[in-house]
Amino acid sequence: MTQPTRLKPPLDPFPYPQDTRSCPADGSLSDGLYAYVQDELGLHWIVPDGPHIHPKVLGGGRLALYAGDLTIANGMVIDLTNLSGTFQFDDPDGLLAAADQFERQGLMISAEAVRFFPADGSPPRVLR
Amino acid sequence: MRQSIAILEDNDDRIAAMRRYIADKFPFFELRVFPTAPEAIAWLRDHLSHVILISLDHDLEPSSESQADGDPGTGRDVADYLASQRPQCPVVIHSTNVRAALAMEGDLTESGWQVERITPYDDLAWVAEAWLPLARRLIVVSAKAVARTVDAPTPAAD
Repeated sequence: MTQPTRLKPPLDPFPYPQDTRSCPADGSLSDGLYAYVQDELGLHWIVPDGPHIHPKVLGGGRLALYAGDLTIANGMVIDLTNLSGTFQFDDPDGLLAAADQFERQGLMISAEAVRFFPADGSPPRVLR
Repeated sequence: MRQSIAILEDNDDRIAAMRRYIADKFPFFELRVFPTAPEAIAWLRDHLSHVILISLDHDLEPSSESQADGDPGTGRDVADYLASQRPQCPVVIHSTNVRAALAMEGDLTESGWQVERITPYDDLAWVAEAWLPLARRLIVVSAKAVARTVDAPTPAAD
């Protein structure tokens, strides 16, 4: 059983406008690397990854339930992480909850795709 | 143990871009940048087991500081050192000197290291467009092997 984590503000509080490409994640996403941010209602929003993109996924300096990045290949999520310099979520349960939510939004996640980076900088771990 | 990303690079603009992007993508890792091969090798001798990614340029310009201390060496020197060690992590070779980069790649792959090579382009555009996604992929993929090691059953303590 995974529990949702607490809302967290972006470390860069500048109220960037929301990226025009930002949209709720769903099962129709094309292959590529994406940044994601989970909004206060639990919905995952995604944008093609790029430098310092996380504060622009929701925009406006909004708080997030979780954030990271993911790779889609052949229609499957092949990796899903908590990598975000902007939000730096550091709880593995939150990442597992984020994975569950992606599945509810229609994405298929490969085995061993959920990879957690501990805040102490120790080696990343596969969660599931 | 906190993992490090080690980079051999002497160009200030490249270093600034790499620092910015690594801080944005991998905030939990330590970033170590070395402008000369001897400095890189000296550090790797003591820290290689805690390095999660190495990225090597080849051609190094002597700086005012390194001139005082001698030859800055090349990325080949670091590759040669690594080739004498047990493979620990992926290596990226980022050099416009393709001939030298190929030689480094050959040395390392022959010794069992996982190596990816990219050729810089368009001033600094390659750092965000090619180098960072490559670094991310190599590091994220490494989680699998690390997890298996960490999660492997260990003998119960007496």
